[in-house]
Amino acid sequence: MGGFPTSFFAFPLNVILLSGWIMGCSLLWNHCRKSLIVRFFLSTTGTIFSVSAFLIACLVIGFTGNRDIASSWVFVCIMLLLQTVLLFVIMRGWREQTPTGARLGAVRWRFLLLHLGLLVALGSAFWGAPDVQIMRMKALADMPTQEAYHMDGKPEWLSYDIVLKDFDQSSYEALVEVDGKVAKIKVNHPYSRTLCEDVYLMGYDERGCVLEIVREPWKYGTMAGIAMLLAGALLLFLRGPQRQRHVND
Amino acid sequence: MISAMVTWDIFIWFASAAIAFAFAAAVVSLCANDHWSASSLRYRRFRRISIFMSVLSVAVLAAFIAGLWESLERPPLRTMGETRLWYSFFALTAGLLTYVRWRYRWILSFSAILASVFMILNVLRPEIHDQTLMPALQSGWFIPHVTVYMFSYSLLGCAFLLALAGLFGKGKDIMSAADTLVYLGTAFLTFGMLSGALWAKDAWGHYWAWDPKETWALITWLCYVLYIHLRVMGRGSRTAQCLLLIFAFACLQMCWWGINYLPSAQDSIHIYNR
Repeated sequence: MGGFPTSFFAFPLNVILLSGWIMGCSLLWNHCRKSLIVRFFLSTTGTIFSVSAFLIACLVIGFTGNRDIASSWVFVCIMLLLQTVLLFVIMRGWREQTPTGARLGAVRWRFLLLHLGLLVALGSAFWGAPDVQIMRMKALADMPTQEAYHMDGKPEWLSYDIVLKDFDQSSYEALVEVDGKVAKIKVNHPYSRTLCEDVYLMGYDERGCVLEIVREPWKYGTMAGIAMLLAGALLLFLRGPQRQRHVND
Repeated sequence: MISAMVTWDIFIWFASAAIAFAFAAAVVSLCANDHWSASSLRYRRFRRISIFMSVLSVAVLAAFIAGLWESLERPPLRTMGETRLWYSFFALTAGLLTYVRWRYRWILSFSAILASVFMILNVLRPEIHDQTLMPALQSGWFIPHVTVYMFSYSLLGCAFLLALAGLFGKGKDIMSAADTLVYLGTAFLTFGMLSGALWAKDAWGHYWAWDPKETWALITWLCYVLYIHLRVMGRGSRTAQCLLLIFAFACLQMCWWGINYLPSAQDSIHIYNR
């Protein structure tokens, strides 16, 4: 399994495709709302089909333990379908409508936070995946190091030095000089070198400690989506079940 | 000065008071008769007393946690005993909030039992007070993450029982009661899953890594999301909806403990007892 060339779609291609996808959906929404494809995206069948397809794909990963399925063409298509259904459903249902759909009313906050939150979180993870870089390196005591290795074994020379200053085994804390600044790194407490780059402590041995450098420029999108979903879940708790609606959302 | 005296040696007194208030609240809430009108004076009086008792129970535990925090000069989040203290606190708080909002009379009994188990463990096994958690678990996310999951499991467990009843019974009330429980349970499930994602980002650098535990948590969440959509859209027969709830609960069991026995899940980073 696997097979989807994720890294090929790295910036700027992912941003171009994302813009194209949003524009395509907007065009369909504005000019072809009665077309078969838009009616499918907005139908109950579309919603149930996309959620079920995602559920089945997750069940396959769950039973087989094969994480490569998440980077297969089939899975990518399911994710794209789910996001498209979410986008169309949000465009139609974010405000109250009369049965004829003619007049827009109050904003449906719970609906909007849950659906848009899910779309933003999924979308950031999906479109941002090609830009994620994960590297491992060994920080050695009093010896500046720049050499890090990507997960596929490809080496990369960092533009700055990393030196291990101290390591406390009892509290599992490392004092590391990163780019001239001394930082304390421990499990659950990474060091943010830049807005998009964090340094994690992964392990240690007698020579030094193993660090993981994660570059994830889209992480703030995921974070925003999660925040919206949390607010939506709070409203789910406070308001409880929704009555059956005339529109299928 | 008082806080400097707060140690585990006096926990038994705080625990006894908290347990007594929690069970008093549970008993009073159970005594309120189903046939009483929600606006009747008798009903409101019973409800107020149970809420007051419940708040006292939470306040007693909060006072102990605050005192311990002050005397340790660090947040009490490092040892097994300290985390169980927080479980008790959050179980009582979640029970109180759910009772205030949704008036389930049984919920205070459930949260009282759950919180008491952890408090009694802390009293009976003082050795866990010094048992340090592994570094990965020493996080502010640990306790809310686990507590909201445990709470959602209990709500969804009740929804599962209603689904079984719904397969054979015909009353409309069964499904609407199941709906409320599923909405509340899914809200807690969402908090649990997303707090886990935020914690994973802090601990391992990734919100999501398709670890078996994460995958089964997502599967469980998707099952309940599908159920909610089927109900809102009026799709699927009652039998199909009940069967979906039963399947969702089976997935929840797989996520909770089943993955420990799933051969393909043995590389999970969420199995801490290896």
